[in-house]
Amino acid sequence: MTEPTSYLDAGTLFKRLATPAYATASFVETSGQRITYAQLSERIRKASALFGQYGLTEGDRIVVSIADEKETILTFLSLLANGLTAILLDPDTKTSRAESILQMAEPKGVIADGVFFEQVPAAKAYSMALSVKPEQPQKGQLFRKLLGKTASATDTTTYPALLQSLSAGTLPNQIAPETVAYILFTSGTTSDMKGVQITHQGLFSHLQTLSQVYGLTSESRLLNNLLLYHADGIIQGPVLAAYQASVCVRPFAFEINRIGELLDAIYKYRITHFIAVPTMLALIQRFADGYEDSFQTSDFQFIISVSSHLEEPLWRAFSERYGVRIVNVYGLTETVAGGLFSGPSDDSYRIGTVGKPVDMVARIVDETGQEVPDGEAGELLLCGANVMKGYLHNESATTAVLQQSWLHTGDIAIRSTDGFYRITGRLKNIIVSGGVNIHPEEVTEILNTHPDVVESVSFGISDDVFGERLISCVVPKPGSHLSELALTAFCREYLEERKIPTAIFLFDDLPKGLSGKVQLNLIRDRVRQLDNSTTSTSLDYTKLVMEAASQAFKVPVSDLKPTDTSRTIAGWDSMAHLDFVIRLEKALGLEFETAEIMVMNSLQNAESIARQKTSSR
Amino acid sequence: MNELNWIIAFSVVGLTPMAWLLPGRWQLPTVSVLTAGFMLVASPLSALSLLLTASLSYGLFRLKSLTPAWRVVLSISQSVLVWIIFKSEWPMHQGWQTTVGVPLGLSYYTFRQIHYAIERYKQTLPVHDFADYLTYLFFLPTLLIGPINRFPDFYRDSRRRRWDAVLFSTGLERILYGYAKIVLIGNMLLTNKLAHIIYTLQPNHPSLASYLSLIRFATNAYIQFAGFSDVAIGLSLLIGIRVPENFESPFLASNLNEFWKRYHISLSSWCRDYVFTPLLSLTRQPVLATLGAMLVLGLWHEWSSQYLVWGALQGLGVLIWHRFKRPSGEAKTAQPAWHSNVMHGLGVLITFHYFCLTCLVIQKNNWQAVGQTLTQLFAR
Amino acid sequence: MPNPSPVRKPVHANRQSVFAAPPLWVWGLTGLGVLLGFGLLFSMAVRSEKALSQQFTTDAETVLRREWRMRSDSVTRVVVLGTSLVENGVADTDFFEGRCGKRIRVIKLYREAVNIDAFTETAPIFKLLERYPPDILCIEENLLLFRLPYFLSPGQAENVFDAVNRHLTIQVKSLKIQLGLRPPDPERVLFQGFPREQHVQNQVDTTALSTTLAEIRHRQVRTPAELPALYRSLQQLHQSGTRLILLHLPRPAVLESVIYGEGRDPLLRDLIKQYHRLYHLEHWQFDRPMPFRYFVDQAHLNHIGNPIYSGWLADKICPVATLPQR
Repeated sequence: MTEPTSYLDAGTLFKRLATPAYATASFVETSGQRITYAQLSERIRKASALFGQYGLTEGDRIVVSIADEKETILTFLSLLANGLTAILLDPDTKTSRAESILQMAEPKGVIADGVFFEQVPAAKAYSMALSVKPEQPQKGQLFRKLLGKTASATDTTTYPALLQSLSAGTLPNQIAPETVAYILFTSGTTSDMKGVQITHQGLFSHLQTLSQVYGLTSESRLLNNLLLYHADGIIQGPVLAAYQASVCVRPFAFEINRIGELLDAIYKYRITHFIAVPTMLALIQRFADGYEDSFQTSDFQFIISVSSHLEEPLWRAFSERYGVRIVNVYGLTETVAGGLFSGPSDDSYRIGTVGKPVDMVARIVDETGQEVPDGEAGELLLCGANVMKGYLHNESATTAVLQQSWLHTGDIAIRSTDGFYRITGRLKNIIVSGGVNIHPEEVTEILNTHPDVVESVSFGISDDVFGERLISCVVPKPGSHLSELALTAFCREYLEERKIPTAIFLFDDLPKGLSGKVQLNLIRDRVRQLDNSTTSTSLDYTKLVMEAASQAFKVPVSDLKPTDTSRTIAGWDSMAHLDFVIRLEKALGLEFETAEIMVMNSLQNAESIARQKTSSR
Repeated sequence: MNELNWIIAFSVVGLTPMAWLLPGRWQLPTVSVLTAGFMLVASPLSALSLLLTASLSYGLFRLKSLTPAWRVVLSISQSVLVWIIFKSEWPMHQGWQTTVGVPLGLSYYTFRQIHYAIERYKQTLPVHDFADYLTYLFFLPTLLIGPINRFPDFYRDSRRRRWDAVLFSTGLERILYGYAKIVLIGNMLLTNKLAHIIYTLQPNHPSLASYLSLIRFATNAYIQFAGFSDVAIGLSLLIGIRVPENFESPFLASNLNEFWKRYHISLSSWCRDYVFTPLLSLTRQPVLATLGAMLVLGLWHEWSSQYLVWGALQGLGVLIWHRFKRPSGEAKTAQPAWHSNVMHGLGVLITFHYFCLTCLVIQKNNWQAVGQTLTQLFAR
Repeated sequence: MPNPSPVRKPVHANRQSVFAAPPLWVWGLTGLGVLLGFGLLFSMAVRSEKALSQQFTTDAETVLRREWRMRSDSVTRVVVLGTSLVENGVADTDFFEGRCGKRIRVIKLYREAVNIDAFTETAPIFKLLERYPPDILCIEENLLLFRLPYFLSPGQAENVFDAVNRHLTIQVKSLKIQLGLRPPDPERVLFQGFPREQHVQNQVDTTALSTTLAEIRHRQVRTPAELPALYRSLQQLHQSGTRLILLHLPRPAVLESVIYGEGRDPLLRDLIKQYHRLYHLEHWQFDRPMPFRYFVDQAHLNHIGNPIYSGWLADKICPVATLPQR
């Protein structure tokens, strides 16, 4: 079967959500705010009137690039309900890339933060160019009412404030199944942009599949704090919740020093399903001592691991330690979100596999396209209603992966005789670091544009926590004074934070084979050696800390002050924090306690903890 | 109204509504402020003493000029000093403050502060600020009637507390159970009715009367205290904080070691973690460590020679059990089932009676009375 | 490879009780029920207290009128007015007659756990006394010296629980008597305000004095001008020829030293003097220290204490009785 037997379409769904039965029900809950289904319904109807004013028609493409989560969610669903195609563009996207996406996608409008319009002036040219100014939650409403003060006048030129004056419009009764619901650009080089187009049929049939597999009802409460500009964040979060009138809880962005708080949120918000990437699970496994009972609540059902490969040891260890089932989902942006599911039911659950396809058909083929017998490796091909329509305006890329409605996943899989699929490798050149897909070519492309770079290569090396880490090797022009820091700074200008290499090595040349192809294996070995030999013997704590910080956060030592915290250093996020700690551990030849790592919120602090640690031994 | 009634009334009428009706981040701080207000009205000295020791035990760790070892030593010393001064009734002997007595909840919060200092020294505490620490100490449901709950547990629950009708109902249930234990079983049955029976038995059956009076004292102490713990747990639940259990049917324990794992758990586990383990790792002498832990356990109740002896007797009991216990796992299958059941039952009986007997020391006002009762019990 | 089956611990890691707690509405309903039941009991208590006061007034009037009508029979009539201290401390009239060898009749008018209001407001005993004045009127000194915290009327009761509790005790007792579970109280003389539980234990716990001591310490001394209605009655009685006595009833010596101690003694002495000067109240003080074993509890004299005290009282009354021996 390639499609669930029946599913709700957008028209029926949003009509149903507007009924009084859901009026007070929560749709999205964040730590401070709550959106109800009534608010959602009102918003999409007002937006409908607005879109009508601009004369937009079904299938028109609208670029959405908003930092505020609440606005992103409401805008995405407004577009969806009105049959418009949302192009989700991460607000972190660098200007050059945003420009080329705008050029190529030919949208009818842009709804984005003010910053976006400043950086991409071309965006102002669209007939509908809405500058977003998120509504601030009004404080002290009660006192204001008591004092008889009215709310201050709102700016009616910005979105969503301008919706206030509009009366509710009507939603389209029927949206054609083949209308594109949204477009997500996957990582890729500028010459080969891949905007994945998902149709209404694809999206809504898959939402039906997901809610059936996960057993969602209006009582379900999904915890999903993944990035909203990725399919797993938006689709397996707010959109999936809306499909079943469930609640999507997004307490705060994942941070290493808030892991405990995140786990406590499971009890506090009565979470039933926790949608996570394996990196998060790895970090929880490492840093959440004493939180073993976190999933033992009367409400919780299971964890849903998405986005990247869930290592078997982690899977097993985590399940046992926390006494919880982890459902491993295999899917691509090209299949909406899922496709194969290991769990939650016993007959599809096997640790180390991606389980079995649901509402999809899977084949494993060799290079010649011949199906291989069970137990042998080959490329995984998928077919189902949830497969994308194709890449936007990119025929060649589409035909490369989509042949006779079979999607070539680029992943190598083996099927067991009893029907379980196991992913064993990858054909495509892509690395998944902390749940984020990175095309190494995209990074190489940028590095090569640096005037002092002769050539470069980027690749992933395996990592216990992140799954993979991106490494770049660069051959500088003779006589140039390139440094790792300079290159990182250069990358930061053109690449999103998540795509910046964790290490850049400078070489005189890159080993090449007879054909002139770079021999990655040799470079990997070299890198591994270099990576391990950075251990220092001197115990100048300040210097050690600064060095570790400089390497981990990719900031020159001269720019660092002891008082720096995660707020003052741009590169100091939770992932880099761990990197920092590990580097420090290596340098000192010791291991920090969980509590010690958690309290290292400033360089000064880290230094004093390091001192204490060594002196106490 | 007595102290317990005031606590219950104020918690139910004052704290609980505030803990749920105010905006989220004000809820627990308000509970603390109201608790402080309650203390100020009930006993200003208690409020001040708590605030002072709390500030010191937190503030000393902020002093950059001290080494961590000094911080923990000073922090513990100041808590212990205040505790000893008041518990030994030193001010009374000096002729001061004769009407003030011991600050309310002193024993509980002193031990909480010591726990906090040691854990902070060990760096096992979650990241928190002074307000979190004060919220932990100024928490009326457990402030005056125990148990000695731990900061990380409290802090975690304070972060994840949510409105939960089932938990709230469970809280009300616990308060009812606790109150019934205190009033019906403790006060009515054990204190009044049984006392009356003992009184009527006294002339004709003095041994039996003495025996019953012994049992009555120990069981009454247990029932009353378990009731107080129930009330504390229940009141905490009303505010959304889950406090660990303090008793697990201790009189069903089959040896004294197990008994102390089930009787006043928060205190005995405190003594294990902060007296027994450090002493053991310091001296490598299990006997010394056991006696030390049990002496502290005794002195926690009252700073007197009677409790010192009582604690020593507990330690002695545990040591004797250790000396004669069968190595675990040995020859368990060789005996038929009834045999082990009988042995277990015997163990329960012996443990219970040993405990009751040791309580004689604290029941009687002087050693002469203890001797009299013992002769009455065993002379015939 | 076998899958580890997910561990399912009990629902709440620290589940608090064996029984599932009931839904909240059950508590709400129960609470409401308890409140309603309590309210009902309270209103019943108020009504029965009123009825008792009414009864007390009627009985008192009957007796006083009867005695007054016989006033020409050369019997000295002594009314002793007070609380349960009078009930337990003052012997019945036969004792006095035997002791004095004179025609004398002692009439005890008492209600348990009351203050002066019980004789001026809830039951207008002083009005009756004005109408039917006795030869001698002894008033328990506590009533006039201290602002006692007792209230007869449950409406004014400091503690509604006490009022309901008192009511329930009476009801349960009468029910027990009706069902034959308990022998009826021995027939007692009039003015039985509240039946008191017989003290099964004759042993007094002399160590648990803290509650009593606290009550005594908190007592406030009255001023000689705060009961105008009563003073008018006293003046009226004085004019009618009644001899007015402020009668001391002893507590155990330990307590007595607290009552007349701690800087309060001068105040009391002064007040007593004022009473004497203004309203012709003579003060009769019982000076002998009484040990605990003369009491049933910490206040009420027992079968040993009663004759001792009554003997003293008789010695005070007899000389005053003006009429010749029989």
